[in-house]
Amino acid sequence: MDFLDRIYRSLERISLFAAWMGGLSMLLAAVMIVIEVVGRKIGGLELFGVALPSFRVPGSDEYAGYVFAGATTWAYAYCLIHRSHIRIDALYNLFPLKVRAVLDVIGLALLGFYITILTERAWVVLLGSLEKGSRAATPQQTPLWFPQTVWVTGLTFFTIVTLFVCFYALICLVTGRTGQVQQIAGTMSVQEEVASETKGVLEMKK
Amino acid sequence: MKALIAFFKAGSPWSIIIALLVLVLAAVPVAAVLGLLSLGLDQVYMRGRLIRAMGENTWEQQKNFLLIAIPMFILMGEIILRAGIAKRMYDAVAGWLSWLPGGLMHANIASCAIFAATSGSSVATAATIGTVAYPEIEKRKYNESLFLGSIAAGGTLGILIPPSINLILYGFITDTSVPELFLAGFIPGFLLSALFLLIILIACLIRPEWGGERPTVTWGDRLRSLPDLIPPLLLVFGVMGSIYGGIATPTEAAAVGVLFSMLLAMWTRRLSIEMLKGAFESTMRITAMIMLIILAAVFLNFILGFIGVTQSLIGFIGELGWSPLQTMIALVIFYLILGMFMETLSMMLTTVPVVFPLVVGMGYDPVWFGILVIVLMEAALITPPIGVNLYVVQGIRTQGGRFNDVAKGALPFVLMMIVMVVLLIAFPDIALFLPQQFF
Repeated sequence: MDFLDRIYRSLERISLFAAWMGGLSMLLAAVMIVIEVVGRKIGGLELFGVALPSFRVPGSDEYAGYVFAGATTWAYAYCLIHRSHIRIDALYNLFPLKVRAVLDVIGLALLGFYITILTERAWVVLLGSLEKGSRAATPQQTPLWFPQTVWVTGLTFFTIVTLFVCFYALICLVTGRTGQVQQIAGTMSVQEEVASETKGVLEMKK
Repeated sequence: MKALIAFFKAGSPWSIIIALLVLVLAAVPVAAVLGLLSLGLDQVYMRGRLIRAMGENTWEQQKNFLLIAIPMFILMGEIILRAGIAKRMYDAVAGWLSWLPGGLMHANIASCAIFAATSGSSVATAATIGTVAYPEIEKRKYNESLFLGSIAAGGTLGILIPPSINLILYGFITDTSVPELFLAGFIPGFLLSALFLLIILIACLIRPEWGGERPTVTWGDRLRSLPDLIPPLLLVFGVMGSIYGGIATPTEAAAVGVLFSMLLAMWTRRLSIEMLKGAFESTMRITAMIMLIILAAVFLNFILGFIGVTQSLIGFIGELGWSPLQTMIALVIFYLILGMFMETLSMMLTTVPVVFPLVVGMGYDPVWFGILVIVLMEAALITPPIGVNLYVVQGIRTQGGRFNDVAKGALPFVLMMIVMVVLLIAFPDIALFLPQQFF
C-alpha cells in the first residue's frame, strides 16, 4: 500500500511539473505570437521620420500549434490527478460512498481503455512520420517526428497515470478503503471545486 | 468488445442511446463516453475502418491554431484574477450603481459583466465576484437568496460577453467565424445584463426590504474610483480592438491579452513566480479538461458524418412536418430541460454537431444560433439540480446555508434568460446587427 502511495505521489509531482512547463511554454508562445503581430504591423510605418523595420517570426503559428499540442497532452495527467475531467454526477451524488467508489473504478477503466487505443493510434502516426521522414507542409518544413514525440510521450504518460490510478483505486476498493478511492478517483466536491477556482482571489487578499 | 458490437447491432439506434445514457449517468468521464461511442459506431457501421484515422485526426485538432485561443484566454483570465483588481473594480462599480433600489445587487451584475469581458469562464467570474461580494449580505442586510442568485446569474454572462471560450468552441465545431460570433455576443450580453438589472429593480420596488441598506457614496468617491475601471476596459478594447481593427486573429488577440495581463499584474505588483505557477496550474488543468472532450467530440462528429446520422435526423424532422419556428421552440425546450441535468460544456459539444446542420438547413443564421445556444447554456448554468454556477455560489457561502436558497434566488434570472431567448427569436437582429456592420 505504501509502495503504491509512493508511486502515486511521484506521478503527482511529475504531472504538476509538466503543468508548470506547459503553462510556461504557452506564455512563451504568446510572446512569440505578439512579436510576430507587432512586427507584421509596424513594418513600413514611420516614427519621427525613421522607418520602422518589419520583422517576422517565420512559422510562429505553426510552432505555437506544436507547443499547444505538447503542453495540452502533458497536462491531461495533471487534470486526471486533480479529478477535473468532466463527469456527469447528477445520479452519482445520490449513491452511497461504496457504490460511488465502484463507479469511480469503472469510469477510470473505461477512460483507460479509450486512452490506450488513442495512444496506440498516436504511436502509429509518430512511427509513420519517422519512417517516411515526414515534414510539415509549411515553408519551415519542420520534421514532424520532433513535435509528435512530445505529443505521443504526453499521451503515453497520461495512459500510464490513468491505468495506475485505476489499479490503485481498485486495490483500495477491494481492501475496503472507500475513502481513499474517493480521494484519488472521486468527483470533486463543491468545496474543493470552489477552493480551486477562488485560490487566486484568496491569494490576492492576503 | 465482441459483446459490445453484438449489443449495438441488436437494436440500433435505441441501444446506442441507452448505452450512452447509462455510461453518462454512471459518471464515466464524458470524454471516454464520446470516445468509446465513436469506436463502437465505427466497429458496427464502418467495420472499424475509421479508427485508422484517429491518430491523424487527433494530431490535427491538437495543434489547431484557432483552439490555441482557448488556453491563451484562460491564462489571461487566470493572471487577471491574481492581479488583484477584482475588489477595487467591484467597489468602483458599486459606487456608480448602488443608489438604485436593490443596491449592490446591481453592482454584482455589472461587475460580472465587466469581469466577463476579461475572462472567458462563467465559473471564474461567479467565484471571483462572489467572493468579493458575499460579506456585504450580512453587513447590509440583503435578501440572501436574491443576492446569491444575482451572483450566480451575473457569472453566466462570462460565456456570452466576448471573449468567450464557449463561442470559440461553437465556432470551431460548426466552422462559424469566431470574430463574427464575438461581435454578435455584445448586444445580447448587454441586453441580458439590463434585463437582470430590471428584474432586481422590480423585485426591490415591490419588496423594498430585500434591497438592503444602501451605502452612501459621494460624487467625489465615484470620480476617484474611475481609474479602477480603466485596466479592465483597456484590456477589453485592446483585445477586441485588435480583432476588429483587422490587426489580429482571435488567437493573436488572446496572446496580446496574455501579455497585457502580465503588464497589469506587474503594475499592481502581484507578479511573482508563485503567482505564475498558480496561474499555469489552473490554465493547464482547464485546458486539458476542455481539450480531451473536444478531441473525442470532433472524432465522434467525423464518424457521425460518415454514418449519416444527421441526414436521417433531418429526414425525421421533415416527416414530422414542423415549421422552422416550431422546431426551434422544440429545440429551446429540449435545451432547457437537458440543461437542468447536464454540465454545459459537454452538453454543447455533444448536441451542437447534430443539431447545427438541422438548424442551418431550415434557414437560420449560424451566428445567430450560436448566440441562442449560449443563452440557453447560461440558463443551464443556473437551473437546478445540476447548475455549476449555483454550486460555485453555494460554495462561497462561508456561513453555510441551504442550496435551495441559491436555486430559488436564481429563478427570476432564468425567467429573464427565457425572455432573452424569445427576443432573439423574434428579433434576430439583436445578435446579427453588429456583425452585419463589420462583415
